[in-house]
Amino acid sequence: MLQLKILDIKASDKRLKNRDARLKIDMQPLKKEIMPCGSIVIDLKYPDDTYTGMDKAESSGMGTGIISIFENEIKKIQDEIDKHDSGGYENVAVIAEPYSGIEHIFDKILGDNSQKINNIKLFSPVTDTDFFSNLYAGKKIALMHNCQYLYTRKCGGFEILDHFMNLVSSEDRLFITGWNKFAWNYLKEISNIEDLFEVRITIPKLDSKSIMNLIMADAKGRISFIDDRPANGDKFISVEKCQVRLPFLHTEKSVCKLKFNPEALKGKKSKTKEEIETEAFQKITNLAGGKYDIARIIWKNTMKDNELRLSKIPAVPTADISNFDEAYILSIIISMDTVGYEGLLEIAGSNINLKQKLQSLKFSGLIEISDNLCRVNPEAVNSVIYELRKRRLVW
Amino acid sequence: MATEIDALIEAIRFDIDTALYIIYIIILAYIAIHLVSFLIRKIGETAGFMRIAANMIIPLFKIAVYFIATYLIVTSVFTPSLSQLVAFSGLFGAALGFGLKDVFSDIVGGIVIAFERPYLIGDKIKIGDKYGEVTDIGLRATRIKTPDDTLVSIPNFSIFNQSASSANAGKTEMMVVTDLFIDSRSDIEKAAGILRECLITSKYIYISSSNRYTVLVDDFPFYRRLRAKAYVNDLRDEFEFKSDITRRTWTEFDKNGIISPAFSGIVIGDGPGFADR
Repeated sequence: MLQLKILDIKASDKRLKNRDARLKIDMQPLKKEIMPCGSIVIDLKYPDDTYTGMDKAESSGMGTGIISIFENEIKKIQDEIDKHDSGGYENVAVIAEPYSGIEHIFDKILGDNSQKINNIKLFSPVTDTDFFSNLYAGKKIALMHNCQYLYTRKCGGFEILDHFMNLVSSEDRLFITGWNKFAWNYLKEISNIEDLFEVRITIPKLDSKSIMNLIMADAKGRISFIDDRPANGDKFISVEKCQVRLPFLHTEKSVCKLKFNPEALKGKKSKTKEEIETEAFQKITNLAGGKYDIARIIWKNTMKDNELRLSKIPAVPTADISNFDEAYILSIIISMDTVGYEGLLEIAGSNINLKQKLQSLKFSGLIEISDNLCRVNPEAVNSVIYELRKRRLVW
Repeated sequence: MATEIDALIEAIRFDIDTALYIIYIIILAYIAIHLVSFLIRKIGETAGFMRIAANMIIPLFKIAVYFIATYLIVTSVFTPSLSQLVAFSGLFGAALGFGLKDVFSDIVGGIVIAFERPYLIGDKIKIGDKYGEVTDIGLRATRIKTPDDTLVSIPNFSIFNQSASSANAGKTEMMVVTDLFIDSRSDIEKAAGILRECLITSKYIYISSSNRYTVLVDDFPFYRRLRAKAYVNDLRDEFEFKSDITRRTWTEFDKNGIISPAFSGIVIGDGPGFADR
């Protein structure tokens, strides 16, 4: 059984000028006889293969594992939905770095509250306030994905955001919004957006154990882990990242700790399957920076014939960005998750030779460009974030 | 006293071995200072916004090396007793009085700069009428690079008799003030809004809870001044930041009919509003 909701968008609509406008009908299968009806996909430009977390095929095969990992985050959102009926709610902002798995949380929320929620996905910058006329579709709760598309970092690019913020402050409806972390951090410094979204949920990074459990739960068949690295692959001292809750802070922070391996001094010894498996996922987690969706991509790329060789897991890349303009372009791309060439050109302005810079970034392996859409290469996301934070181009 | 000085002169041993030893110490100190300074600078450049903090070690290291080298050289020539040391101090004082006063003042100034840190290597400072980025703090002089790429040596003694102002105080970000002047009849609300948006969307800006930005308006008899105050991410981009704001703001002003001030009926600039006047 399928329910359809058609959003009437005419190609002649003013806001669709110069855009590859098309109507999309969001069809979602029933899950336990409950249908997330009323879902609207407002897609002004991008085709289905635009990154929205994971491939549909992949995400459909996901078990409840990822949901249990994000149990606290989901509970916080659900609490606000439950409170909304009694009128004591607060708007929610879910803040995540790219590939952190925000879509899994929203899918779960939508599945559990399909009758109450109107689902809105943004795939490109919104350019007209007419967009807000179809925001609710008769529902009292709006679930908005990719809210970083509500502004453009250019002079005159905040009109839509201002309109949205006025709407949020004046309407008696609950807004559950998803934001790119870097876009959010920028907006909170230049506007009073934090006042409007008093419940702010930051998606945490996962540790290697969680990632291992999640990936292995979905793995099909028997997986062999092979340590085929040279003998000096084991290090006596290595740096590991772990999540700790520091005093007076409500969120977990990622801290580095030294790990000593006395066995490395004795030379190579045969390892048990569990040790190799743990080490493989430790490497994958380091490379993925604790982001589940990146870990899955690395897993997928590394596995061959149900065999995972440790030597095939790539080392953490270094993002060597010497040019300031290239770094700035990267900061815009990573703040928007995915951005089209035209949109990027509007932000970069005429002073930057955008084509050259994008080619240079592409050759460095830092970004991917397909169908005129740019996004940061998943395997390079963490090193790009590290480099941009060091330059304070993202906050 | 004369006997003490005679004893001091007699205690001095100076032969070819001592001379070679002194040369060896000087070369070693020179290499150590330049090598370590070079390495710290290189590491500092990769440290992003921690660049200036990393450079802070350089002057302290230099002073430590200078003192160790001086101690080794002095003790290689003679090992003074207390009375000889007093005699030596007398001679040293006389030397200062005769001509080394300024050099000594500069050295003391260098030590004060290293420990009190009124400015650091990498800071943008103004001493007297000289403005630029500090490239080196030596024992005798501080070198700054002016915006037009001139290297100026300022004696360290200057900090005792001139005010030294550091625009960034050891941080990489620095406040930049940009002034724009518009005609009194232009829409000031719109102009301030445009300037604000051009400011916050600049690629050079740095905003945080302790680094805020502001747009101020001031009215003068023949024009209005819009003043934008914001932090540039890296002080090396100070002038690019200013230029970026001015260029993009005036482009938007032109689109919105906001014009330059007019004096005695002469309009400066040629915005779209010019024709309507």
